[in-house]
Amino acid sequence: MSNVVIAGVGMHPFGRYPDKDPDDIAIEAILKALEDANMTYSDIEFVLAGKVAFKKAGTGIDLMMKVGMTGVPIYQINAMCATGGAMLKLARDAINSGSCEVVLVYGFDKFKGMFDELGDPWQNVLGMKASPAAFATVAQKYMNDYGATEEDFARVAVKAHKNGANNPYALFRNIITIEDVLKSPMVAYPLHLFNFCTPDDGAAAAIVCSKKAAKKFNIRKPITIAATVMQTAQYPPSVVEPSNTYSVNLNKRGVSVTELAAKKAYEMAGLGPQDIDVCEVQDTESAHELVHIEQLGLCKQGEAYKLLREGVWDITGRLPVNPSGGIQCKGEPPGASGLGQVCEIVWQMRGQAGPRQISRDPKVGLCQVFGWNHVAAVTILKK
Amino acid sequence: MGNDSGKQVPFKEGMMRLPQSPADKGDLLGSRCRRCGEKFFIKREICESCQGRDLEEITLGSRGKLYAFSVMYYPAPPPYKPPDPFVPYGLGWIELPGGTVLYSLLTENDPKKLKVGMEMELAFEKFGQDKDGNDVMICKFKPAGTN
Repeated sequence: MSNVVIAGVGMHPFGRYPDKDPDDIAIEAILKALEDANMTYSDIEFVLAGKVAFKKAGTGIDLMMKVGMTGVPIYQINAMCATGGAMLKLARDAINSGSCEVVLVYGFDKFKGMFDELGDPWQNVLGMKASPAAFATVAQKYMNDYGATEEDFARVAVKAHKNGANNPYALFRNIITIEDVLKSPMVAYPLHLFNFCTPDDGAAAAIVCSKKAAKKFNIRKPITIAATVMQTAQYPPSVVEPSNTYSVNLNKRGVSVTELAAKKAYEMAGLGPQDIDVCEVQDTESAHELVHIEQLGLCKQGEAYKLLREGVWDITGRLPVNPSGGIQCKGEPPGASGLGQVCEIVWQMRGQAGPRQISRDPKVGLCQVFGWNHVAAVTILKK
Repeated sequence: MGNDSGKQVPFKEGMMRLPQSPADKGDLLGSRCRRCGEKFFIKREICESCQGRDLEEITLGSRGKLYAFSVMYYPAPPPYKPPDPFVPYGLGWIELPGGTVLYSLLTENDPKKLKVGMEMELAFEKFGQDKDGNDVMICKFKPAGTN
């Protein structure tokens, strides 16, 4: 039984804000989360600040100085696109250790273009670490192994936009068709522009606290963090998983970091994939939404695209996936995207998601993030 | 295979053995851990499998099969310097006999001409010149039997 809950969440819409002071983007999400938890910054004992791409030095601390000077420890965390989930693990561990009761976790980023110098220097010089190609290679392998088509990947993007159209926190709020996706320029075979997430600006925050603190602050609908796991590669890594890995031994079965994290998370929560009512998964591009659904054990390997055709992952389906529209619609500020998922699942579990509220009443939700170089985090939330 | 202004040198030490004659296909180089036997592409100091520090250099041959691939239609970010005009380029995982699979540039950039399981062979290309006038050579994989 977990002793740690989410008391409040807040988000600054993901999008492009060239004229806005970047600190103000993060501060807006932080203040909204504090307000949602009915707390003030003086109640916070520990701060975790996620940032991946934005280049300003010391952001974790300097922007917090504008929120309040209370002397608390503030650590900046970077676990690439898995930053949000990685921070939740630290927050939960800190509270479970007894060192504090109330933690502010926020993620912020401002990002444009592709990650430069993602690989080792020699790989970068040769253009080998073009992240779209690394992700697209997984898509190509998925098509080859399971018979999925470019249309199936397009269908993921169409579903994402159907949900994103109803999300005021999303960058793209337009409805698109399969044809629109297939007609958009090919970025990395077999994936088109509309299959990919777009790097953008944004922030998300959560107040994490002990059950005792939640009572003290009169939190009406605390959401329990039933499990949170941060996972890196365990040799041998999964072969095509996006990374800087030079070579892998195919004679041993490499397990994806998401599958490893999910197994631990289900065990920690005392739950299984059959208990999940709603989830947000890392959809760097359309194919990985399907790949991650399978790695989480939510269906058999090679079947996610078939179930997509049947509407299983729709907000009206048996197991809604990415009701927020995912980062295909929200865009991806990598420091903030993981907590963006947490905001969505918390709103869904409280019944506050408005027109994109899923049909069934969710008791258990799951968030999964995956980042470059074999890193993933899985969080299971429970009412 | 380069010009005759200087000798050919590998782009990265411990990555490839350049062909010494027209009949010589060259080799990929790697390391084998003396403790656990695991093999790796490119010379290593630490075994990724058992963290052993005693590794020997091995050759990994010049042929393999295409395991998975993509084609980039936009240039990678700097420090990569794309050709002008930019030409899409292939990338993929190549499975060597013995089960080592490595990530490589491909000479082919048409996805219709690439197929999982097809035979691939090593190809060397001039990347540039070093300060001594030597040709710096990189390796890619090409569909077997093509130029």
